[in-house]
Amino acid sequence: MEKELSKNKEAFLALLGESADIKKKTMQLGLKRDIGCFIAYVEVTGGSFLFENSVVGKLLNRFLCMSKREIMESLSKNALGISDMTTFDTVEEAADAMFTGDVILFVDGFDKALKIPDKGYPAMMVQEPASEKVIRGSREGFVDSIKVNTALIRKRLRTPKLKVKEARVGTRSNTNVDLVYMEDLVYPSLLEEVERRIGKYEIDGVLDSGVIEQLSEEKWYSPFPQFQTTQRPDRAAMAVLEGRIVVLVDNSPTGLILPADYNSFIKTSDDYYNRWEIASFGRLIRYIASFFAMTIPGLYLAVTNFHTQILPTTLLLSFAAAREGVPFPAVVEVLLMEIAFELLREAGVRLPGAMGNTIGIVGGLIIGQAAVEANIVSPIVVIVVAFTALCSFAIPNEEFATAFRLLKFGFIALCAWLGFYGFLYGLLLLLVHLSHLKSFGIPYLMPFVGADLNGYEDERDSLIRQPLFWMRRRPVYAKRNQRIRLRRKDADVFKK
Amino acid sequence: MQMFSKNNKISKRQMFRLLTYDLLGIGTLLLPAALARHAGKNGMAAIGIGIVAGALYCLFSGWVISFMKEGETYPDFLKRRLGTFFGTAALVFYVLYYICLGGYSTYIFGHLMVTDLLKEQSFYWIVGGILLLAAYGIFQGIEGRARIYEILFWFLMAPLFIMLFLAAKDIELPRLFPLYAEPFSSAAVGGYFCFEMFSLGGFAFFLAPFAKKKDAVRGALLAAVVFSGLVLFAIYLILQGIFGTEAMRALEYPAVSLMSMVQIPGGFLERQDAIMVAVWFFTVFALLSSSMFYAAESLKAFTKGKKEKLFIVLSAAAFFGIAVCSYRSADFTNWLHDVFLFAATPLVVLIPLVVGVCAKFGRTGKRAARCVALLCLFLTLSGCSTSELENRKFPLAMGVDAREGGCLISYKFQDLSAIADQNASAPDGTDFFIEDRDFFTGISKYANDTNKLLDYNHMKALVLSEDFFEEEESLIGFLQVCGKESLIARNTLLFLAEDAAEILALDENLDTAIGSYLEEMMESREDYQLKDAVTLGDLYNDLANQEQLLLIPVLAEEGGLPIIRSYYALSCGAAKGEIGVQEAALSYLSQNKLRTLSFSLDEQNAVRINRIKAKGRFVGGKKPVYRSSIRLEAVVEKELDTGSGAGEALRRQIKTLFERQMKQSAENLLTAPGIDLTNSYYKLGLYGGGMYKTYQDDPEGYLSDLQLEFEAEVILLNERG
Repeated sequence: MEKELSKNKEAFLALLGESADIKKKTMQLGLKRDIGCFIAYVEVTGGSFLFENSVVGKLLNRFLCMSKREIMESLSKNALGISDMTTFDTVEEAADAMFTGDVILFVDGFDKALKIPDKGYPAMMVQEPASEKVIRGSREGFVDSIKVNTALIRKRLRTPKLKVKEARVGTRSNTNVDLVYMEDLVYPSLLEEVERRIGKYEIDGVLDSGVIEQLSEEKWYSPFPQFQTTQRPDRAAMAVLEGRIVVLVDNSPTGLILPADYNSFIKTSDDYYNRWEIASFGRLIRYIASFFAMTIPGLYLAVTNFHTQILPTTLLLSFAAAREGVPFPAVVEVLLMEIAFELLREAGVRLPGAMGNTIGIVGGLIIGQAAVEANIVSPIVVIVVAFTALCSFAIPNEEFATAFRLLKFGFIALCAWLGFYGFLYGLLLLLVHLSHLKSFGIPYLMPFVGADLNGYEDERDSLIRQPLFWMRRRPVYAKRNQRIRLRRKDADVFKK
Repeated sequence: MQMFSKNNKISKRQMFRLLTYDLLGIGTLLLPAALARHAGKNGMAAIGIGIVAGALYCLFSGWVISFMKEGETYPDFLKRRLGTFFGTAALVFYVLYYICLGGYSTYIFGHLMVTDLLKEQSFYWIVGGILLLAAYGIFQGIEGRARIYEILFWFLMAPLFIMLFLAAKDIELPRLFPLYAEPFSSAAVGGYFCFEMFSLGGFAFFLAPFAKKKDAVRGALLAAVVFSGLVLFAIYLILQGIFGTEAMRALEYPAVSLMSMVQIPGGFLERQDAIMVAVWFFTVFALLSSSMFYAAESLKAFTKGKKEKLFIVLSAAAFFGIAVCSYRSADFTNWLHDVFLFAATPLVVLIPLVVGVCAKFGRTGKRAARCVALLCLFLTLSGCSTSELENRKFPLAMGVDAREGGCLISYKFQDLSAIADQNASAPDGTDFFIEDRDFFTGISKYANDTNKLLDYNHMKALVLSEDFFEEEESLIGFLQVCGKESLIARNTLLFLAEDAAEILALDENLDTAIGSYLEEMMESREDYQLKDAVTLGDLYNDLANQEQLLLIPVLAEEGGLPIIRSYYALSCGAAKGEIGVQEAALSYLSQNKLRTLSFSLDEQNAVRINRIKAKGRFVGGKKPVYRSSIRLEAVVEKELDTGSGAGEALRRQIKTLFERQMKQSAENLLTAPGIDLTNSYYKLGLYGGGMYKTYQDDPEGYLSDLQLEFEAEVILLNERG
């Protein structure tokens, strides 16, 4: 650290690079305004300097009433009168301190940087997201403010290599859109492509990240989302560490992660917080659920109307007995129940919290029971539809689950028409579609296909989540020469 | 943006899986029956020859590919090496070959679906739909196509391997032997058939420019050939061990038939052939889709890479045309197959050979190669409806009786209202009778007389009257109708009775449907296992193979319940009449199929024998002498004084009695109806050595020359205590 402010400032800025969420300000202090100072902090961690209620505000106001000599004395002897103040001899230490949520102050003529604790990272106002609930892991979720959201990611990744690039989108809304990424991990071509796609359209207003998502996806007709959405900062931080980009939009609590693939939609945050056995088991269950959420009603129709030989005789006869007296063909029966279920779901979502839950129970139990007793549907179909619904709820990402809910109707139609052949046809069609689908150049079926791109390392985190110490390499999204994320060190990290 | 993918390059693993799918589908579907017809028991040797030839072809292909420039397409390579005229001629061949191959595989796909999955659906819809899907897939490029098979690979292979593993336990060794009874030429012919399949590896030439590393093509192709060859070998081994060569010849798609017979432990699936058809759905689709891709690739070369999509559509249309022609005319299908066999397969080898020679030896070689190419060209020139569940009836048992001028078919259905409501009163309509001039007319009549569809998929038991069974014409007609489109599952239990309708009428006395009752009766028998019970499939196999003794249980009524009164013997395909239950038990005992047996020792005491181990071998020279060595544990009721040697005397008494009884029963049966109780003729191929040739086609002569010997080793369990 030098005594000259300009040199310190230059070194500090060179270390930080450009990042939209870091606020920097040069000011003049002292009675004669003859002492230059430089303040830097992560946005939202510092209070307003104009107001007396913030530590930095008070301090700066006090410095305006002091002479140069008094200021220097206060800096060197009185620790600015703040008990929690720390001084640093290098800009690296100062940057680390800033990322912990404190304000860094450089003063001309003083060869140390000062850490001033102020508001710190947001915590109290942040609530657990309504979706993406986890058993183990952070309870923080994104909020409507983009500044808070970037700070929530920054809080988890305290490195100057984390960059936030900001743009304004929407000719009338002028909405802030941030790209959060790790400078040394992300492919520059990916970053360019994201920027290009966001700037591709001129739109009057961007009121949610969903608008950006729809305008930027490659295959508009695909039911599968090509962006992963998240309301969890830890999930977003995890994606950034993998070399992916997080897109945050102001006034939206949902961040977009890209590139995305089938596997990434099935993963949850606590897959990495829990032990590998249970994480793998949960993941397998979710994979199976994603398959059944789409196929069970269709398979039921195929088996009962076309290929009865598959089922054990007693089960088949039970099915047949249950259908006695039902006036509708099985396909109509299934469609009736599926539509009833979708109605219940829609009603449950739109109604206020407690009422939403009630409608689910009322619908599920009473209407189901009444429909069976009135011989409108058979009990087996109620079980089939309920099981399908359970499976769709087990898919951790809502947008991804929606794709299966829609495809389910396609499978119902194909299986009702062509039986198991229709099922296979649908499966093949889906596979052909998925095998061609890409999210920013990444095959959607990674790492089950094209895993050779990363020496088959990505397969360690697919159907089975292998023990963490085996997952040494970052996924294929990260730059080729930056793929090592875990190595043995054997260092005493607590040693000062 | 071409950041990670869309570089039209595929990895070695993708290439291996793609080629494996191309090779495996049609090969495992059609080759077993073809090998059974042309190579018989030499089928496995034929597959071995095919694998070796295929592996050599891979090495050769790798050698030819090594002359291709990086990124150079095969059509360009052909033109560069053979010159424009011969290169174009070769390309024309490839276009025709791939269009014929694609058309043929489309036909096989459609036929398989119409035969095994959707019996009453339109062939044209199925074929049209799948071609559209294939075209859509190809529009997206090779990467996407490779990804489909990369991801599908283990999803299909794992169930296939599990099913093969489960099926393997039912292999009967005598059906596999002797290995070299037929001349080597049959193995060579079979080997050529196999090579025809492996020659599809010629796709690799077109695949080479898409490989990330050109050198990887050879390795991927070799691995695909060896892998699919081994799968084919395993399938053939199991098929032959279960069906026998003769029965396999009669089957259209033996591998699919096999899937209908495999029982998954736990019984949560009744039959899984419909599910396992998925293996061939995807593999045959892979072949037709590859053919479309390579046909379009070849056609593209004529327009310098333009109009690719148009060529894909044209190829699809051509496939459709060929598939329809094949579907409508069996002669066309046969002709098409002959073209593949005698013209296309040699050319698929010769053209790359010529190109390879040209590449290796330059201009001189080029001239020679052109001559060969010209010669090749001349050679070539010579050369399911849907029905709702409640609209179906599920007969759990069916009886067929002979009637004057026709037959009587009786069905017993499950009472569904009793399942829905246990307290429901006895329903009507749980049985149905049809009398007509023959079985086929009879079952067709049912559909006209009722508004229900008969679904035979869950039929447990088939009871035929002895009159009907003995009348050859009726029986053959019946079996043909049943076999057509797999009307009745091969694993349906088979029984005979004096009057089948009467046996089915006993349903009224039972608390469960008679079909289920008969199945449970066979399952719960202590003396032998359900897997040894006779099924309709056994009857098919035995009538086709004519090499073993089949004992069909004959049912009668006793105390209002059905019981097994006797067994009807079918020896080497010939009806021999009834034998007693005790004789049948001895027969099962000598074949190691019996778990326990009781017989009287003297007037007061009975002996129960357990843990029976029977072994048989031929001990004679020129005439067959078959010695059965039986080891058994015996338990007698009376108490033994172990110190006085009474135990040893009793053991000897049991041994003598047992041997005498075996010999007496065996000789009686051999003399009078001509039944070999030990079923030794069946094992002649496995253990008989030179005698097999003598009696191969003369089972009656064998039975008249046969001498049977029995030796028993008795362990008396009472003695130990």
